[in-house]
Parts: sequence; structure tokens; C-alpha cells
Amino acid sequence: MPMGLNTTSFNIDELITSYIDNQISDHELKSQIEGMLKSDAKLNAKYKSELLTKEFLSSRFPEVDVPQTTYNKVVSCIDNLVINAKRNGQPVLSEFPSFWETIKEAVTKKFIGIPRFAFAIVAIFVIGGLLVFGGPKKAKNPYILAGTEKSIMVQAVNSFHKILSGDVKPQLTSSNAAEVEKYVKDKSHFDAYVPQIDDYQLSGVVCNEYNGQQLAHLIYTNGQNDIIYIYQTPVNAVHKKNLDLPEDVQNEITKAKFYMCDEVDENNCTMTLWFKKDVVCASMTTMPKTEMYTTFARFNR
Amino acid sequence: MKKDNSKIDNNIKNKDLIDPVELPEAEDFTESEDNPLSELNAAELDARKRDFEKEAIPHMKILYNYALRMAGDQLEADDLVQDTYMRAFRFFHKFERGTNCKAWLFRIMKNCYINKYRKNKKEPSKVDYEDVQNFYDSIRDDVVDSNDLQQKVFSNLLDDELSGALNSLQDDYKTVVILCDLEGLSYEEIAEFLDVPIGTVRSRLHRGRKILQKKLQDYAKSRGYTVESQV
Repeated sequence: MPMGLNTTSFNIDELITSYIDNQISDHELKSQIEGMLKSDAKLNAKYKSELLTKEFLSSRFPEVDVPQTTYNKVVSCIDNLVINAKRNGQPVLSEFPSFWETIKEAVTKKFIGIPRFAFAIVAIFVIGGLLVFGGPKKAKNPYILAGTEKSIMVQAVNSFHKILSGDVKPQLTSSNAAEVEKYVKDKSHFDAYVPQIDDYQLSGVVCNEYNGQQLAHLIYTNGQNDIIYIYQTPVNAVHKKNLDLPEDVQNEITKAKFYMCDEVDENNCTMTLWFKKDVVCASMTTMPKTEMYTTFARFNR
Repeated sequence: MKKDNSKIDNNIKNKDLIDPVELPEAEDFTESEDNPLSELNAAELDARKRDFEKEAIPHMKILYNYALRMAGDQLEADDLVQDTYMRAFRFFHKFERGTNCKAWLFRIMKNCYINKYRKNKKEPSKVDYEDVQNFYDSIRDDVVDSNDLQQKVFSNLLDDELSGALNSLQDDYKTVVILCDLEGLSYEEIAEFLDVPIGTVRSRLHRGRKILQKKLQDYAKSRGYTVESQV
């Protein structure tokens, strides 16, 4: 080791690390380190070994691009934050304080130390809570709440429930996608989108008409009472105003390639809307949103 | 000769003394804070979205890669990126225009990771630096040409083993190794991201690589390679 670099081995080792990462800008210092590496075989071995580890890491963990689904998911979430804030003038669901947090805040911050108030507050919340939790849950999605019977979203929810309750049964029972496509073409005169969905099997299809507009309803099951239902109609139904699809949702689909929401009914089912060629698809499922997102990302590539 | 010593010391100290850019603390962005979006009207919301898309969205790639390496799983990385961006959007008013948005986002992600994921994740067994402190010192003078062999041994390791080795690092070490060796950031950038002195970055990086090497060696050894005497 050159006399001039009489530092502790700890510092020398860290300097070697800096040298490997090309973080030493001082030319003289750099030359000194290079001299040391030439003259000190042991230090040179340390240097090579550390360099090898660094190169090995970067070669085995190459940088990856953000998957399109991840990008869409992020953009979609931000859009939903904006839409929710605009619609409700309120925070999104995750930002609501919980029932218990509300009680805690009311009791601890406002009336702590005043037992009669605390008791009254607790009593009100308990009674209110019983009413809230005892009663049926309602849809919270503003598009469903505001939708008329012409709304694609409302129609998808209603049709899904009719299928779940058994009020509507498939006109054609088939697991053959080509057969289902042909059936829709014959009955409803448009090209339906019949995707393959992992872990789910196509069960059948129903075709009908609303307001002069042809509709198709595809049903998939997984053998465990779980259903994915896809409502489909040509996109010109929206252009002709035979059916309604909120403009915000259309913009969202155009931008993020899909629109996904939950709380569309009392069972907190998930709805996903997207365009496939000239067809509007509205899917309903009992799956939670995150699970449906993964499923949707797989089948709708 | 004394002059040389002081040059080295100054070189380190001056870098250490560089003050990181002042950034809003990610730790301030707690769920309990009132929802800042509710206070904005439609035009303000649109303006925020436009600014956010311009400033924050372009950094998604580096954040995603970091999330992927930290979480070690694509689905968790997805969630981590999503949580980071949602939180960043809600608190975008705290971002000071003209400062480093990438570093700001990174801090939020680091905080999200610590709060939400790390505590739920099963901790892999961590390797202490002290265990490998004398790692280099064990190098024998007669094996200085062993690097070729080390390269062969390392290249035969499986991806899972490599991920396992990376995950065996403490988060502080893992973060700097990921940011430097996988993301290619400079020490200065990493120091800014982590709000630590450059000397700390250098030290963590050095130690992290040492631990990693030891762990890789252990994997190689378990697969029958006699690597103990190679390095």
C-alpha cells in the first residue's frame, strides 16, 4: 500500500466501493486507488469480487417496464379519486373515518369528562348503529344511484341479479365460445366478445332487446357458485342514446381502457366496464374488486 | 504524504456535508389527516390532476422497479405503486414545485412499504454485518485469481436464491443496493432519496454488498460448490 494512503482498512474498503461505483471525482485520488489496486493483490481481489457482485446483480435483475395493467390501475385510481371528490364533494370511501373512530372522536375529543354527554353519545350511536347495520345496505355508486332504466350500468346490475336469483336462465347453454358467438350473431345481429376466463367456464347466453337495442348476456361459472356475468351491446346504442353510459365513465374507459367500481349493489358486487371493438361490455361479479382486477387483466389482454 | 491523507479525508467529509434537498416528510401523510381533496372545487381538482400527471406519473418506472425488488412480488409491487400514487395525489399540495418529485415519491413509497407491507411480511432471516465483517480479510493471498471461479459459481445460482440473498439484507442495506446496483442511481441521488449523508450511503452499500456476497456464497456452498476458499 502506498505510504500516502495510510488510512484505516475500513476507509480504504469504502473508497474501493466508491471507486467501483465511479463516485470519485478527484483525479489524483482516483490514480492513487488505481496504483494501490495494481500493487496490492489482496485489495485487487476485494475490488474484483465486489465489482463482480455489483455486475452480477444488475445482470440478473434487469430493469423492467411498468406493466400496462399497473399503469392503467394507477391512472384509473387517480381518476376515481377525482370523480368521487367531484361527485360527492366528499372523501373517497377509504378516507371515511370508521364507525368506531367516530365514536372515539366524539367521546374523547368533545365530551370526555362529562359522563352524561358521553353516555348520550354512546346511546345515540348504538341505536344508530343498530339501524344502520340492521337495515339493508344500499348501492353507493353515484352512477347507479342516479341511473335510469336506460342506464347500461343499472341494466347490468338488474340482469345480474335476475340471473343470480334464477329468474333468468340461459337461452343457449353451451361452453363453446364459437357456438355462443354464432347464437348472438343470429339472434342479436352483432359480434359478441366471448373471452376465455381462467378458472371459469362459459355456461351460456341470453339475448334480448331493450328500446330497439340488441343486448347479449354471457354467463360464466367456476363450479363454486361464483359467476361472472357480461352484459354486451353495440356501442352505437350509446351514440344513438338508446342506452345511457355516463360521460365520465366513457372518458375513464377511453383513458384507462376500463372502469371498475364496487358498491354497485347491496352485496357490494364489482362492476367492470370496457369497450371491445364496437361493443360495450359491462361485467358483474361477486368477486372483490382486487380479485376481479387480476382476473380481468388476465382475460382482457 | 500527510497531504494525501487529508485529501482522502476531505473527499469523504465534503461529500458527507452536502445537505440533502429539503423535502416534505412522507411520514406526515397519515390516514387520519382530513381529506385534502374534499376542499378542492372541480377546476382545482382538474388542475391538480394535470400537474400530477406531468410531475409524478413519469417516475412510475423507477418506483415500480424499486417496489418489485423490495416487495419481491408483482402483485404486491402493483399495490405498493398504487398506494404510493394515491397518497401522493391526495397530498400533492405538500409537494414543493421545483424540488425533486422523484425523491418525494420515493419517500412516500418507502413509508407505504414500511407501514403497510413490511409489518405484514414474513421477515426472512437477516444476516448481520458483523458476521461477515472479516469477509474480505479472510481472502488468502494465493487465491487472488479466484474471481473467474466466483463468477462461474454465482452464475449457476437460481433466481430464487438471488432474490433470497437480496431479501436477507436489512431494509437499509437492501434499499441502497437496489437503488445503486439495480436502478443505477448516484450516491448523491440516493442520499437525497433517503435523506442521509453520502457517507452513510457509501457505508451501507459497502456493507450490503459484503453481506450479499456471503449469502450468495452460502447458497453456492449448499449446492455443493466449494467456494469458501475462493474469496
